[in-house]
Amino acid sequence: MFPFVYGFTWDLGNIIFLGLFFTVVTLIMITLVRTAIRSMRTMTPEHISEFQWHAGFEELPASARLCRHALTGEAPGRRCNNAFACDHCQEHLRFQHIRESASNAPLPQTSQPFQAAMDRFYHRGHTWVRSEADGTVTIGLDPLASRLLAQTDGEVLPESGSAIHRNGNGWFVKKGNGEIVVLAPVSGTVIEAGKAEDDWKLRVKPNSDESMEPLLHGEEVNAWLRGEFERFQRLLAVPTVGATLADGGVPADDLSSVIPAGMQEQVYADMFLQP
Amino acid sequence: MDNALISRGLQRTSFKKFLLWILPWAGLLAVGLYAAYRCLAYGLNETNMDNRFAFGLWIYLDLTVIALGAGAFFTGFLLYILKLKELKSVINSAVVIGFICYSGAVAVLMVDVGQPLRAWFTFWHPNVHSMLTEVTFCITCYLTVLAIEYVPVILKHRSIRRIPSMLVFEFQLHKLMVVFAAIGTFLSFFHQGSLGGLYGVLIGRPFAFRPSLGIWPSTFFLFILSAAAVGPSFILLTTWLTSKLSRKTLVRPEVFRTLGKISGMLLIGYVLAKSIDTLIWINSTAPSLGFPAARFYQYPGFGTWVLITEIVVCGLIPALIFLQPTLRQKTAWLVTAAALACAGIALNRFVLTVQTLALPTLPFDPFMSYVPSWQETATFGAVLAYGVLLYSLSFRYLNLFPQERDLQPL
Amino acid sequence: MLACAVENNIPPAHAGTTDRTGLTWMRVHRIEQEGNDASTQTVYLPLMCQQCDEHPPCESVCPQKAVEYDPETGIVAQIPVRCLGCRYCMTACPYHARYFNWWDPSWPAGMEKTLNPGVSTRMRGVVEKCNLCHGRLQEAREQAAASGTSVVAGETFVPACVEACPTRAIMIGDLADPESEIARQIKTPGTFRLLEQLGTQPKVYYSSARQWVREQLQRTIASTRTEVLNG
Repeated sequence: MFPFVYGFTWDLGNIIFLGLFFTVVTLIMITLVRTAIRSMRTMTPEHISEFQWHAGFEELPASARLCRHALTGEAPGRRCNNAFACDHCQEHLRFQHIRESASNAPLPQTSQPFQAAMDRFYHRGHTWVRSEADGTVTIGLDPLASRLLAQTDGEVLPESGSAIHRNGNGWFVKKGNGEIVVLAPVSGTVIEAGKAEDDWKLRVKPNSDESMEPLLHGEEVNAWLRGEFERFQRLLAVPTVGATLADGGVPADDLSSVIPAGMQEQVYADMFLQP
Repeated sequence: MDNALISRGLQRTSFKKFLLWILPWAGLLAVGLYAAYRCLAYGLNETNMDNRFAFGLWIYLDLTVIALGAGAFFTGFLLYILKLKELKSVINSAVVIGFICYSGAVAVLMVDVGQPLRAWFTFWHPNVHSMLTEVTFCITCYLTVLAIEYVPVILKHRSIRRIPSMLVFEFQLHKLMVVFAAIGTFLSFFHQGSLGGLYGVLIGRPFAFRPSLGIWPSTFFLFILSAAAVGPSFILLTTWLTSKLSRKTLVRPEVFRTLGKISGMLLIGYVLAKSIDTLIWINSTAPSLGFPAARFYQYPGFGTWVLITEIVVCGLIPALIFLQPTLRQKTAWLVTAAALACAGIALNRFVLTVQTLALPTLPFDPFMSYVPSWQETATFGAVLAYGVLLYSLSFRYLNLFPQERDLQPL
Repeated sequence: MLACAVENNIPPAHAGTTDRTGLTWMRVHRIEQEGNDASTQTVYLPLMCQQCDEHPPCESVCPQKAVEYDPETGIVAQIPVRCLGCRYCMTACPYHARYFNWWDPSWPAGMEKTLNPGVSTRMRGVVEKCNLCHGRLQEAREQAAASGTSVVAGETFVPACVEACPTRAIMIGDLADPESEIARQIKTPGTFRLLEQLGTQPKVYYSSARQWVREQLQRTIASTRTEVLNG
């Protein structure tokens, strides 16, 4: 195997064979070392948050991964393959161009279970982001989420000065035996936590390079909320009965009360995009 | 009871039922391990191998599982190198199956050789002219690669993923997976071929001997082609079986059709190559060694039907089934064709190991027979049990089939 | 066969040894003339490693070079201490001249005194075969070096089987020396090698005056007999 081993000869067969072998072994070693080095370099909270999101996104059901352009009818049935990073999505760019050149036909009006305020951006984890005059943003729960979390057993909001990362942990809500992580819609520094009477939970100074592009805005928001409400109802399906959908009516103020016992953790996890 | 360990959104049977499934396989594994212990402690006289049947059930088993485990490298090649994205839905399962097949084969090999502790001699004093040296080197490297490919599947488990270092390492490892897929393809090409070359170079066994193309006998290339052809079939078969046993839809039907089509295309190429090779052997190679080919098929039980079954029934027919788009729409046809293809490969490996040794070479030799002892069969059973156990555990706790969640009934 | 076993420290067979699992470096086969009439004859064929020339089929297949062909003597040597026991060489040998240690060799108490000190014993799980009494060759070489003469195969170097055969049916000599008796012998009509058509170039020649022996031993595989052994 090595030149110093008894019986080794420098013939062509030996050179080629052992050459290939050592090349393969070296390649494997190098790649493992590269992986280790890269891992050490990316052990930052920001990267960890990003990786967690990507890993979790892969395991989301198709129903939770509807592309925003499917919501508006531009690409019916299309699922997102890009972890909702619309600002880095070729397809989104394409659709933007098409939108600009096409006429702005209003979407057909259908009955809305919730009215979402139009002055803000919405994150798929059911939070909204509102730009304030002083350059900060406020973050709160969207109408569906606030009805799901109408009754809580406590909240743990991040401290002022701490960093949050988009798609990473925003704040924690204790409910029953479990804990729900509400995903952060923007990356930035927390300035203050909201008080009980405020309609917002966090005031954040967003990072300078932060884009609002991946967040939902405008008409697509209502389509999305409608879809999410349907998704919620499907999750309540009991095996013997199957999925049933409400036909009209007004959503209850405390939606958590309609979740069958034992399914709470699963439903919250699905709705709040937990991994 | 172990719900926290099961991926979110997936349904698995109760822990108790799972234990009931595991128990008999664990029992089989225990019996097999005892048999292996006997062989290691008392010597290989515990088997029914002898000086005429130096290779027996175990070597046959090794060759067959390695051929079937080729699905791992080939699916990796198709996905990471040729970018056939639809195979993403079976790559995890393929990697686990590959790992099971190769680790099982290596374990059996360690019992099969007379002096397992000397296994490193092949590395220290390699004989580069021997096909077995090539097999040893390549399989050792490839098992390492398979282990490296298996690790991310495990690291992605929900409780392990929570550990930041594991999460980050998995992410970075996956980014470089294409390197490992390429190395795996390279290594597999050589060891699948060398396993065929093992028999093709035996000038002392005219039944198996084949002329060379370059430095390798034609069986080298035939084995690579047959392994690549049967790999997707075996993936199809195991996925279907898992689907049936777990009563879940694990992949979309198009995935089976893609696997079938790929298998079919390679299988038809293999049948063609094998037919040409066999004709050359019958008309030129065997007679030139003084052994007319027909002589080999005159023994009861091993007539020419073996050849016909291998090439036509288990080669041409499944290839034709796979290549018919209308038949590919029906899972029953796909599974039948896959089973036939796998059986054909198993038969081919049998012919080259057991049948080759049974046939006489000296003029006064009789045709010999061999029946494995219970220790050999039990060790075989242990490998099977190990495979089922590891796969069951992986299926229960790991996310082997990414499409499963979306294919659950609403 | 016995002389070979004594010379080469073959261990006594364990219980359960069959004729397919024994260590018989020299093995005498009984060859019967085919046909049914009363005048059918029988010959005995001593079969050992045929010492194939230049590229023995067993040498190139050993994964760790435990088989060594010596170009000077033409002997195919087996290195038991390097052998892994993979038995690939056994499948490669068409003469079935290689034998595996299926058991741990053991000698009953007291019998170890009969061991030949010039030949090392082997361990379980390795392959062994006839090496033309290499131990005796070494001794002959040492004596020749001491006395300043050279080794003469057949005179100063005589393998155990050649020495033991009462009818002098086995002969050894230097094939490379055209003057030697053996070189003359192999040219006589009626001399043949086994499985010559395979191209193994064995250095063991067989000679028979009987036509039927030559025919039977040089044709390809027998066509009718089958043997089933369940081990």
